Amino acid sequence: MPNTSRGLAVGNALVTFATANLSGLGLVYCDWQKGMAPGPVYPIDPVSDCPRLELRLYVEEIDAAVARSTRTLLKFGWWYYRLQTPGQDHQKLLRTDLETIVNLFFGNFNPLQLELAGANFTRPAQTVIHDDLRHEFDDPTLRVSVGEILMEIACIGQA
Amino acid sequence: MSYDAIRDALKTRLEAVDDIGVVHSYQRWTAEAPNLPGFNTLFKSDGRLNTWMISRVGELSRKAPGDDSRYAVRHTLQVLAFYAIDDSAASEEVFQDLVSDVLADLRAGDRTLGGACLTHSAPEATLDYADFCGVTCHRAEISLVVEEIV
Repeated sequence: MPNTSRGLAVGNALVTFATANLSGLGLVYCDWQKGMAPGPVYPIDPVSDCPRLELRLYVEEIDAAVARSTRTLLKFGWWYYRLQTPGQDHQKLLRTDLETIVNLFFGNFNPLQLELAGANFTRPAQTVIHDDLRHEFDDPTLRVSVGEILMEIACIGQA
Repeated sequence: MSYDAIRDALKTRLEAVDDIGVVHSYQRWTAEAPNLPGFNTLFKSDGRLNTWMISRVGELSRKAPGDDSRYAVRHTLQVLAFYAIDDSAASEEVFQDLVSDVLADLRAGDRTLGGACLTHSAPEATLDYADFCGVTCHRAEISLVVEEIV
């Protein structure tokens, strides 16, 4: 039987790895996305809730056994929220932070936690710069930059 | 944070505007006739009826997305201002300028009201005339929605 909990195990490993290695971003939250919203959601209190990094598992695709192994393809998205300070160059600042995250996972990538969780191959799929999120009153000090890093992880295990 | 903290913070903010008159954190009234000491203390500044009062006319709560433990609470505040008409002193112009100063301060100043709230909306105002305790006045009503997280 395929290991149907692989997505959860790898996701937990990603969160652990990111939490341990992204302290430079000053994250106040680094964990699974609590809901399953189809797009970025404005944090209710962006002053207290940003910067934050949320993991979303989109797809867990399990292939039939190939050569007595099971191949599972996992597609994750990291959603990064950054509170804007009026007057700053928000797109560049967001891009810099996203690069920090991308470099962590796809630079010298050999995270033991992921290997233990069964991940064999990881590659970035896409980095998306979303439109910024604004409070309904459009207070300039409460605008939030949002970026998303899509990644694919392949896991190969014994059938 | 709470409504009383917001109310008091807004009162402090209004009191910092030049020539604002007497500011109250709730709606005041008196049966005392104009020019009697109690009336003068409550509503007059520099010998002229010039008073501003804060009230709340509504409250709306919205749950935080993905977090059942927090709410965004929106208080709809109303600031009522009364300024005695004096045609010889062009009181209409003076009052209009005063309202403009208050609105400008609310638009451009600290939207957290010194940390009492998350933010507030841009203010909206209507101006007309009214009788206040027997005194004919210029009247302004400023609406402001203040949001706090609880």
